[in-house]
Amino acid sequence: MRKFGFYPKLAARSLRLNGKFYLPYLLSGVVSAAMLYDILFLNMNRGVYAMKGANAVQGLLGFGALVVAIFSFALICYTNGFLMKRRQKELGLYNILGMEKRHMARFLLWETVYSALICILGGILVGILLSKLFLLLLCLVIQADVVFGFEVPAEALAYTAAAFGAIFLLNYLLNLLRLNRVKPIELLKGSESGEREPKTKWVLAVVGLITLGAGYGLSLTVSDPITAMTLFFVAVILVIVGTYCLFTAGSIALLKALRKNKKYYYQTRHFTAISGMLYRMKRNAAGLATICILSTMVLITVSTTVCLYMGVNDILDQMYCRDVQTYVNHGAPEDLPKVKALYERKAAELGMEMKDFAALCFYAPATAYANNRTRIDPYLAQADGADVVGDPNDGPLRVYVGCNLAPDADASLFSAAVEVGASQLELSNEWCFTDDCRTGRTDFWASLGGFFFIGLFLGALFLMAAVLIVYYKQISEGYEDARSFVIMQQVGMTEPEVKSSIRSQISLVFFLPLLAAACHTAGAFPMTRRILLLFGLSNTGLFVLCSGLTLLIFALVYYGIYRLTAREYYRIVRR
Amino acid sequence: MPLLEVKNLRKVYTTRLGGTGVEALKNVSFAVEAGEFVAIMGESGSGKTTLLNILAALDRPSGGRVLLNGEDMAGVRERDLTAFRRDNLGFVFQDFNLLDAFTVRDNIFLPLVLAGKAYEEMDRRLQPLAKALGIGDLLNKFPYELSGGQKQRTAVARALITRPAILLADEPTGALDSKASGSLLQNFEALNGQGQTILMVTHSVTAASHAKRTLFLRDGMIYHQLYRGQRTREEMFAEISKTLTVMTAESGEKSHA
Ligand SMILES: Nc1ncnc2c1ncn2[C@@H]1O[C@H](COP(=O)(O)OP(=O)(O)OP(=O)(O)O)[C@@H](O)[C@H]1O
Ligand SMILES: [Mg+2]
Repeated sequence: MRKFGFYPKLAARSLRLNGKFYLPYLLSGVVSAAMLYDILFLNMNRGVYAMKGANAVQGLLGFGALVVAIFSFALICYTNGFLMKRRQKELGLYNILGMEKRHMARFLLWETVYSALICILGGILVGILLSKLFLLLLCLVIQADVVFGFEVPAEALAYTAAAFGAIFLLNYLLNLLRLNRVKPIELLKGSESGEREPKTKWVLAVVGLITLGAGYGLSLTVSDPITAMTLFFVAVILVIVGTYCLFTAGSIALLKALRKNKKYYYQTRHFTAISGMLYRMKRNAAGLATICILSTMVLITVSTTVCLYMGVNDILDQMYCRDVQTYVNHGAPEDLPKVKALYERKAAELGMEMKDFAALCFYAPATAYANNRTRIDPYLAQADGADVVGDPNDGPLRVYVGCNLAPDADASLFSAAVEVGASQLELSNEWCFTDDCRTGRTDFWASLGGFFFIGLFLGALFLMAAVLIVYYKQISEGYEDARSFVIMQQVGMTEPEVKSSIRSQISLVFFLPLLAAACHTAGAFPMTRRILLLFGLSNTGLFVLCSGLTLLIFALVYYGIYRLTAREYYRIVRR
Repeated sequence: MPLLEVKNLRKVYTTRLGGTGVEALKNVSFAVEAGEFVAIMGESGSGKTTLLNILAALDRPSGGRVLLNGEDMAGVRERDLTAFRRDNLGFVFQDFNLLDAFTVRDNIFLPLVLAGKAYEEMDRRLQPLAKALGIGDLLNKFPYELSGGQKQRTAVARALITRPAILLADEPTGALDSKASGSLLQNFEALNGQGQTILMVTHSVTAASHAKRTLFLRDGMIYHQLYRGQRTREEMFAEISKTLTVMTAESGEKSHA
């Protein structure tokens, strides 16, 4: 029994010693666990259930929870893989000093147990502390009344613990697999061993070009919003595949081409940067592509949801111009007067005053009145005696009949009465349904607020992931590069040259993905704009503004991270 | 005027807590003429690396002067030092210090690239050098594909491509087996034959026996020096061994006393 406690202690010590690497790992684990808990908390909160428009919000929150869980898994796997690689040397040393693989497995088990405990307990604690704040935020964005009271749903706790327990267990199994595959001598060499120069992969480059081109092409050519919505994910996948291929193959091809150009390559500034990048490109490429994809996700999610939220009043004004509306789109123009008569009859029956009666509303893309003239004009002719609201030039046809009511009148009662009455009318089409727009407005606010909330929430998560990946990349490269910079100074690189060479190398690594992400966002613009039209948002100016602002803020945050990481990198290199 | 002149060189390493420092070099004076091949020998801790680092301008002396071509190195400003070093001195280290990310060719080019030379010029210099060192076929390989001896010859080429006034080497054969050591030393002798001045620190008597002169360092001072003159390598080998034995015996007595 003498040995009991040896591995737990060793594992704890090793965690402490590798703090610089483990801290960001654990921190991101804690944050993602907290985020999962909070989103589950909101999903299960009774107060949220009771809110108006809760259904849509609940659905969104459930979807969000799933994304957070899957994403946490990917993130923790990635960082864990990175950490294991760095620690191969330490494990190799233990191995040579006589620790068998099964002992190592036990040692790793303890490490995993500690990490899991820290992440789950810490995450839940942080999550509970922040839960009230998130609830208030949610209430604020969906314009619901603030929910009072404090609760800690047992289910949310259980799901969070279970999800992260599973994530860490899987990671542990992956680590065991890794452990089994390597030989001690390789363990000892670990990450320092020389890497073969990557081959130029032309097939991959071509595949990348084609998929990326197809993705962009889809975005640029699809003109119909519904198709845009269905093809959006196809485009996303094409672009992701294209990005990975191009970063992997394209960057190597590009760097090699640059190296071939002797005049360019043999200049102090380019010489070290190009060869350094090329040397690491195999590993680098996937990391850079991931950062690029994550950044794109942040940009698109945040800009579209912010835009929807900012434009919500526009949308509502177009969608719900009146308190009660009857949708007449596929009916014949001759139906309009019948519906109008129905409105007048019901208003009289219920003793309500009908105001601002109108035949209404055209919205969505600017396919121009001219294109739809033959369809629109008959309706306009029949709208005689009613207001015509909306600009016929502003898109395809969508016709409503509707009116306003006195503020204290019961809109839902009236709309129900019209609905029933309409079913008894002899109309040219079974087209008719009637909306109580006051409720509709609240529901719509709630669901767009939900989108907005989830958009920001996931945006934050993706941003954290991007930061983490960048950080680990730079730190690990810093340790690898430290020796190179010592050598370069010995053969005559001056201090300012060291600095500028580091700067050019790091800024390439940082700003290449950002640039590509900005490109992707711009490329996706036509498609996302069309999808926003489905929600009724046709204000392109607003969308451009939101995208621009999001990009600007993201770039600023990114730049901050760049400065921090560059400083850390410089410290490591100059140690 | 000698190429390199060292006068009353002193180096004291002060410990961080400000206690009594270690006097690594006490009072070292010697001169190296152009075209010489000098070996420096001495026990571990006798100050060889310290001396070489000061000659290489990687470190500053606590006292005394180092003159290269009559110019006092203390007079070179800190920010000009790197360029000074690059233009005048070449180094070879025990563990090669090649960069994994570069091919052999680019490793050799590195100092010239840093000096801003044009590619054609670099290539012109490389060809004869690579041939002389027998690495002409390896130029496109990466360091991890090379043997120790090939790595060290690459390092020598990198040190020499700037056409330095003096080649400084700290235990260049330390990580090589006897065969690789032998061929490297032959390279050194051949280079020296073409007029290259070489200063080499070594533990190996064999290595020192290739030099034209051997300096012995003990406790931070020059203890003795031997000129090879017309002697064969075997005779020189025996002579150096004898000197080392005497020197070790004396320091043994001293520490017993
Ligand atoms: N940076 C330093 N700080 C303090 N003392 C040092 C430092 N570098 C060397 N010394 C001391 O100076 C003395 C000379 O060291 P040096 O490295 O020059 O010896 P060496 O002759 O090269 O030995 P070896 O043959 O083992 O390489 C030693 O006593 C060493 O402990
Ligand atoms: Mg030494």
